[in-house]
Amino acid sequence: MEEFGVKRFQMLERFRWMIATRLTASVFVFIIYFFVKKFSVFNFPFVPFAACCFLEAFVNQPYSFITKRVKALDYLTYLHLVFDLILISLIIHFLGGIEFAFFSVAYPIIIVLAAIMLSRTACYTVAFLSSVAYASIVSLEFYKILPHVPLFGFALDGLHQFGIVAANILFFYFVAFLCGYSTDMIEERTEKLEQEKRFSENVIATIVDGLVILDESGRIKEANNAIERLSGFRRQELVGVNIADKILKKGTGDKFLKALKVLSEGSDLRDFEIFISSKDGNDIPMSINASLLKSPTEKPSIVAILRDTTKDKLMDKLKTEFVSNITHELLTPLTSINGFIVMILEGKAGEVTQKQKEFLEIVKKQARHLKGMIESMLDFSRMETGRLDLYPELLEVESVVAEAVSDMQPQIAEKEIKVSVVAGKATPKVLADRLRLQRAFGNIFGNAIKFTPRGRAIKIAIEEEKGFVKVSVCDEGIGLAKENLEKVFERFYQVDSALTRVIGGAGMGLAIAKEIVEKHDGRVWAESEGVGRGSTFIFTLPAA
Amino acid sequence: MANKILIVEDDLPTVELLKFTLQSEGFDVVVVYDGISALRTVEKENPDLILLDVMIPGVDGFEVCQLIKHNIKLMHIPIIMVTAKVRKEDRQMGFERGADDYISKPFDPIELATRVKKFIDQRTPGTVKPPEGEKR
Repeated sequence: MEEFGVKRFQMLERFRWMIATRLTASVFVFIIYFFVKKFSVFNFPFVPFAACCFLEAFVNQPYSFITKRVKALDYLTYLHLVFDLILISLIIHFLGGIEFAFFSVAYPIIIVLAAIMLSRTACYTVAFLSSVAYASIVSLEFYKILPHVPLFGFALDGLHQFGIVAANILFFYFVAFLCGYSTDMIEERTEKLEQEKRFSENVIATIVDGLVILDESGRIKEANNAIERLSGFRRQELVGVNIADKILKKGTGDKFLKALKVLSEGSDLRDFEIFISSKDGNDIPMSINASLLKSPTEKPSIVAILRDTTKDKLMDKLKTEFVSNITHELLTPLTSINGFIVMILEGKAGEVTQKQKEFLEIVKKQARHLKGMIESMLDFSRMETGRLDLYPELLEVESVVAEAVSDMQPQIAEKEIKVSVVAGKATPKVLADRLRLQRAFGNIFGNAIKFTPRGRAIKIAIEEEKGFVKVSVCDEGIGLAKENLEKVFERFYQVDSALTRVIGGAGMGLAIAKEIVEKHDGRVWAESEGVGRGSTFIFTLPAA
Repeated sequence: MANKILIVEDDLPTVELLKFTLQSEGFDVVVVYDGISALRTVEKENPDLILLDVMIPGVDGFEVCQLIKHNIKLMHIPIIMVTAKVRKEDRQMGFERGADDYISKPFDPIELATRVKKFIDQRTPGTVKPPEGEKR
């Protein structure tokens, strides 16, 4: 069905061309004739010749009208070509018949037309008809059945004529052969190209993920079936429209267009999370990957793949719920463990000896440690699924630091570490989630305590720097090698596993801290003079 | 007469801990292990305070809380949610359903006892109490 439509469309294109050519040719022949008649010695009748030209031009017009309405275009074309043939034969007759030297030019024009419009077979048919028409004119005039219109005023003798007739007919067939052959070749090539084009179109259409091709401003140039399915819009409705206006959820389009800027910097856009709004008003979560399609002739375009992440989101949700449930299961026994220890330590269950108290304190500390790890796990899973939601409030960083330090007091006291906090005067407030920020700082500070030997100092400084509040935690601990400065923030990274075994930890603390700080649009990094020379962990938060 | 506290909790060790903590503070303790018996017992025992876990069999803690707070005869009873659901949304949900306080697990028993005492002491004689003889 589709194919037929395409073919017909192509045919109609060709007809339009042919009709225009024919009209031009009629006018052109007439003008040439006019000048030749006026300025040369040739003397041929005006009326029949002009009539032929006008008839051709006249028939040409309804032809264009009919082609749009008739299904069997092939037959119509045949009909018209035969009509052309007859008219040309008439023109030739009135231009001197046998004497006319341009037989070999006039008929091949129709043969070429047949090749362009129809097929190889049509070429030969037209060549045959031309030969018949030509031979008839010559013989009819030669035997004086048809009156000869003298051009130069002489007629060549019959034998000589026969050679010319045969040569001309051979020439017709030669033209038919050449045209037919090239038509076939061109058709074959076109077919091949079409096939390739169709193949790539089918590939694009069959891709499960949505695919759009945009120009640099985000206007849709092409969209595949999946996009139609996902958005509910037809392709025709989308092409030419900016993606921010039609597919993407209202108000998020600018974000996407802004994100596309990375393409001009030479990198790809990956896993860009956004919602699309379908025609019936549903918002569907999508992940977009986009890259730049460079072309030597055209402006570069953007190829964007949109993947429906509804299922992923659901899985994420299930995962988070699962972790949340597991956490619950883990925290429940911890509750009674911790609680009973507290009660025993309080002496509510009878006298406790000094030794028992000492041991119970250890159990209690371990229980708290366990609780911390479980909570980290929860945070970690939320980070993984990108569901670490913030509840920001205006707060002073000093208060967060002070709270974290007082929370860590037992560890600080145990290792006899001297902690000093230096806060700049009138440090601006920041907009941050208090609990998360406390955890981020706590993790960094806890890390410093862990790696600082007994009796040494940790200096905490809070200051303002270029619109940011900068917090640095400087320890006199084991320090870091240069190549580890960035690695320490990676998940599950342990600088030295032997050391960690002594100190404990799952390598999540700094990764979590980094995630939290970055979620607040801040930055976190580590500085160190080298192994054994202490290290400084610094993070910044934008001042509110 | 000692104040009566209803504990709704399905984890036995936790129940033991709560019982021990509250009894050593001199409270009477009634324990149920699921949501439905919680609702039944509240009407029967008319406790002075409820310690309510969220993840309990049957009707969950949030619903129990809501049902009690929507009952004109029972709405005066303070409810403290005790749960390991530590997310802020859960906490929010608890308060939306009418919980008076929220203690997250693992809790410090001493702190819990203090909070319970605070709620009991706050109950001034003017507080609405169900009329006598309403028991069925």
